Amino acid sequence: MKVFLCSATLILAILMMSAQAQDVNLSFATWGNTTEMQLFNEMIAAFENDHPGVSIELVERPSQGYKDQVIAELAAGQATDIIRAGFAGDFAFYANAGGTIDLSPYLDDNFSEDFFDAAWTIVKYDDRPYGLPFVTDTHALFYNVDYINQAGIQVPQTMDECWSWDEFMERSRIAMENSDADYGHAALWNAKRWLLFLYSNGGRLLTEDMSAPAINDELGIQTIAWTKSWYDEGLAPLSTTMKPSEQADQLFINGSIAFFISGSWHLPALRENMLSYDWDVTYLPCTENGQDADLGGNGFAVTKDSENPEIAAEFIKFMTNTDNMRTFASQAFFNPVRNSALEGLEYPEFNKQMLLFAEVASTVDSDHAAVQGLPIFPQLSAIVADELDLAFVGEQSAEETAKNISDKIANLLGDQ
Amino acid sequence: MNDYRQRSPSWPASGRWQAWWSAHQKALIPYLFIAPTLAIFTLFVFAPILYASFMSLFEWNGISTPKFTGIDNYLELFNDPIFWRSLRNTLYYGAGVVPLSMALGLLAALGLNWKNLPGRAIFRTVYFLPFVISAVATGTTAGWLFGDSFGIINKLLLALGFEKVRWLSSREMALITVVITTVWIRLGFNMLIYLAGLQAVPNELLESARLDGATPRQQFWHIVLPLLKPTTFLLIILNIIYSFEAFDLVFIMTNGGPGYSTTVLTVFIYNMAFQTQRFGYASAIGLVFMAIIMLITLLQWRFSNEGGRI
Repeated sequence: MKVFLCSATLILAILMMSAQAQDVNLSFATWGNTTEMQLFNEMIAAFENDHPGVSIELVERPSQGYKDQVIAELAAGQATDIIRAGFAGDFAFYANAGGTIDLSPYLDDNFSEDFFDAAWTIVKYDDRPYGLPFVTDTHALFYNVDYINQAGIQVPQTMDECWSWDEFMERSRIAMENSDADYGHAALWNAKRWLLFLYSNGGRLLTEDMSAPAINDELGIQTIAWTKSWYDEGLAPLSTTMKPSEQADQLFINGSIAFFISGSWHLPALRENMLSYDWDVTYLPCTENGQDADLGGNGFAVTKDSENPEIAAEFIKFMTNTDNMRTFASQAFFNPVRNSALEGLEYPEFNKQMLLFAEVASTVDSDHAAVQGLPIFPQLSAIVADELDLAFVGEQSAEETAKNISDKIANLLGDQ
Repeated sequence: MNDYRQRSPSWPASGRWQAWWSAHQKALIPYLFIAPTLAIFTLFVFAPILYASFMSLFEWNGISTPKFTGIDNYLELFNDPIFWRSLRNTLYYGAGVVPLSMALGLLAALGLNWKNLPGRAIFRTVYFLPFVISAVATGTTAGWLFGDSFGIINKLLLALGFEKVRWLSSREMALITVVITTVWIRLGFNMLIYLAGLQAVPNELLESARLDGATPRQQFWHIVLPLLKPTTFLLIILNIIYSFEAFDLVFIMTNGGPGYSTTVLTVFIYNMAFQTQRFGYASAIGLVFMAIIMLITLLQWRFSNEGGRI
């Protein structure tokens, strides 16, 4: 009888364990275009294949309003196990609010070694990783080849040949006057993208210890004045400021502007929509400090609501391994954030352009990236965007703008 | 006639209950009728308002533990120049949208009330269509119409030899353009309500006036317009509330810019809540805004002779 009872208990325990193993259901919320969703599905299928009993539901969300929904779900305790998060302060924001978990227990000591410093800085909060970086994107200068030829402009072929700010303004004017373009150039702005010009000029948004604003100096004012002059001098359309009423990418596609400052994610859209003109990519204008780059990109985090954080962490480690990162980056037109994934990386299309973006991305200063890792970055970003828009539309001078940004940031930091 | 017990076979038979019901049924039956709506309102309107009032006393990013700050959010709000600017924009927007959309709606209704007008149904549809289409779609369409560079209106102006107008990117024009678009959307609704009002004007009155020698203009000013007063009052209230609540159209067309020139209070609330994750501050703005709408509605009610009759 005893033997029978022991055997029955053992069988029951085994059955329960196997039932538990069958029951691991994870959910993963992300935004993404068709290619990205297909790549995510392939990664999920591969992971499920390697982990019998684990199933992962891919929850597709529109990028517009994605973060609002994540916040609402975290507040309600109903977030998905895994979320995709952007490099514009999302990781620190979620971590600071207790929405995501510290991944240290699931990572080896030397796990971060292969990742780019700047990308790893972004996912850290309180010196611990609250996510894993996946891919990065940065900005470069798209140009309308037909207009450049009409105007007789030669574009830089190497990073060392990058135009100075004045040279760029002169080329923009020449293109506007000597080609069919209505305007010289435009950017697809947000505050984070503007910061690349501030950094490239040697300026800073915050002091080194990030305890006070540092924008209200000669370099900050100079950068504001220069970007403001795009609109004051009529080289960029006023409908494309920080609060645009027309999208700069549409103006480029329609042939209204000769130069367009944007990121690599625009490559597929331009291939599909810009059929009336030839186009290509070159380096952004720079200063004597050289280039600095916008650190766009995204990664993954595990939420506090996950009942299986260990498996969720295992899945995001799988998605960010060298092979998956390289495949995703090459097919969805991003740059990887692992050194090992860069080796031998070839893009099936736009290889030349993507390698240029990768070269620009390598100039990101991790010290600057740390600002994006602050939980208050969304508020900093809103302050910078609002004040710059006032400057661009002619409502205030560069000096007033720098002072207003500085005062508002000081208030914000004082409230923390 | 009001004895519901006879109609319902399952009505409780207890004598004490029946006596109580007979004594109170007149007072209670109206509450039974409004109970479903009241329940929905409590769940989706009153409860969120109460919650927002509570949240307005906290600094909260939506996820972490809220930090009690008392009336700090309200003090900050009254010292925030963007709040005052947004309030001013909201009032300008309302002052443009309400009279214009009502006057044009009445004009359209007068035209469409003329029974011999050919294609009456088509005109009615054309006027009413923008109202039934989502504001996101109409806002996007308006963006294409008024766009600086590839907007159809500017293309037409250029073809006719005029200068381009910076409809949405000029600080002076942007709010006017949003008002024009809103009027285009609201006109159909106002027309429809006015049309119903016009069709309720007794023909005998107009006929007697005609027999007494009243001109069409006199008939309009002295008979039709006074009889439309309750309709006008209702429309004023509805349009004021609509124009104060307008968000999607402004957000789609201008995102509150250029600068803050089209930042109305709803856009400001959205930015505070969802761009900077300051839900407590956004709640405080929302409550002050609600108080302003209630005050204006109350004043309008108080100073309108017809208020009590609606």
